[in-house]
Amino acid sequence: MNSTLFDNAARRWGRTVLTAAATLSLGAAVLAAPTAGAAAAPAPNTPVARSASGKTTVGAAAARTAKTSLAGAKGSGRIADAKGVSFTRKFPKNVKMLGGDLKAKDVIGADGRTQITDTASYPNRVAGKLTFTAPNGGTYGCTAFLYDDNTVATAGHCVYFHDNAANVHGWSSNFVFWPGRNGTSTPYGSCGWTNVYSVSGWTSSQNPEYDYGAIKLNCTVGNTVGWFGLQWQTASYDGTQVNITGYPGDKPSNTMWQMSGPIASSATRQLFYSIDTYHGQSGSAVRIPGCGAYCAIAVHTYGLYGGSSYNRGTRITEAAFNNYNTWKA
Amino acid sequence: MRRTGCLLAAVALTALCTTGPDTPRSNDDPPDPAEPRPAGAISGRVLTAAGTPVPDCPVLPEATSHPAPALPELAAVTNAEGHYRWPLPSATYTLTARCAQGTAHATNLVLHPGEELTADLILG
Repeated sequence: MNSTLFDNAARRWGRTVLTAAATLSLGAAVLAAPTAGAAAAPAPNTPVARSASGKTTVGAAAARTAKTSLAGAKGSGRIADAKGVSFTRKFPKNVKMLGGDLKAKDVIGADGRTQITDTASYPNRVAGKLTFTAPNGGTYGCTAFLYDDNTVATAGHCVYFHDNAANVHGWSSNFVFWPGRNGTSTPYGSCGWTNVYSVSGWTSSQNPEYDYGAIKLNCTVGNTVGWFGLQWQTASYDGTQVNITGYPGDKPSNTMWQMSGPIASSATRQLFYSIDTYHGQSGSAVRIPGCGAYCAIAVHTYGLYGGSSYNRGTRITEAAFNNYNTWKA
Repeated sequence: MRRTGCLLAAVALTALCTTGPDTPRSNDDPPDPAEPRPAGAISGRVLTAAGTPVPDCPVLPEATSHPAPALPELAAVTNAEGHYRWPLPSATYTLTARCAQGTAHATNLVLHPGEELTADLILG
C-alpha cells in the first residue's frame, strides 16, 4: 500500500516536472526568438558602400579566402606609370611652417615621433594625407595608405561620419588623397575617388572595434608609389615592433611623421601600443616588415581613452581582411 | 517516466543557463548593444585679432576630464568662413586652433550631454 502511494506520488511529481520542463523550454524559445516581423541586425562585418554618384549598397559577407596576407609592392617611382593623377588640384592654403609642438595628450611621455622629409621614397610615399567633407558640411583630415594600385585603407570614421548631437550620420564625400605629401610639396599629385567602403559595425553601431574602411581612387597612383600588403592572424602580436606613419595635426601643417614601437596588447579586434599619435593620424597603417615589403596589421583609430594607457587601432582580422580583399577588386 | 521527466527538466535548465553575456563569442558575433552615447558638439569660428575669419585652420580637441572619452583621431579644419564643428562626447575639453597665422586656445570647455557649445578662437 505504502509503495503504491509512493508510486502515485512519484508519477504525479513526474508529470509536474514534465509540465514545468515543457513550460520552461517554451518560455526560453519565446524569449530567444526574434519578434515576428523584426529584421535581424546585420553582422558587424557586413560590408557597406557608397559610390561617388550617390548609390549606396549593403553587401553580403565577403567571401572567405585561404589567404592570410596580400602582397605589397614597392612601385616604380615613375609618375608616368600612374593614370588619373592630378597635379593641378588645389589644396587648402597653409603656407607657413610653424615651429614648436602642442602638448598632445596622446603623446605618451616624451614625444618619440620623428619627421619624415624624404616622403617621395618607398615606403614613406605609400601613406598620404586624406581630406574630405563630412555630411555636416565640415572639412576634416585623416591619413590613408595604399594597399593596391588604386585603393586606400583608412579608418571607418574617416569615411562614414557620426554627429550624434545633430543626429547626422552618413557617408563623407569629396575625398582627396595626397600620397607622400610634405607640407606644400605634392610629389605624386592627388587623386579623387569613385567608391567608399566600411562595415555595418561602424556605420550602424558606431562600434570602435569595427572602425575601418577603404576608398577606391580614380587613379592608379599605387603603380608609382607602391603599396602595403595586409596580413591577419589570430595569434597575439604582443611585443611585435610596428611603425605608424601619418599626418598629425600637432605638427607643422601637412608634414609626415613616424614612430616605431612594440604592440603592448592584442585584443580580438584592436591592437594597443604606446606609439605617439595625434589628431590627423587616424587611418595610418600599423605596419610590420613582410608581405614582400610591408604588411599592415591594423589601422590606427584612437588615442588614449577610458583610462587606458595606450593608443589603439582596428586590427586586421580575418573578416576585415576578406572585406579589404573584396574592396580592392 | 520519472527518468524522462528529469531528463527534460535538465535539458530545459541547461538551455536557459548556456546563453548570456559571458558566452564565448566568435570574431563575427554581433556586438553587444551600444551603450547610450551622451553626445554634444562644440562649434565656432577661428578669427584673427581684427575679427577676420581664418579658413583652412586645423582645430584640435583634447579631453581634460577623466576618464577621457573615445575621440577619433581625425582633424577638423575651418571652412572658408572660418567655421569649425566638433561632435564630441560629454567631457571637459581644451580646443586648439593651429593656423598658419598663429595659434589660439579655448580651455575648460565643459560639454554636457546633448549640449551645443559655441567657442570662438581668436588668434593672438
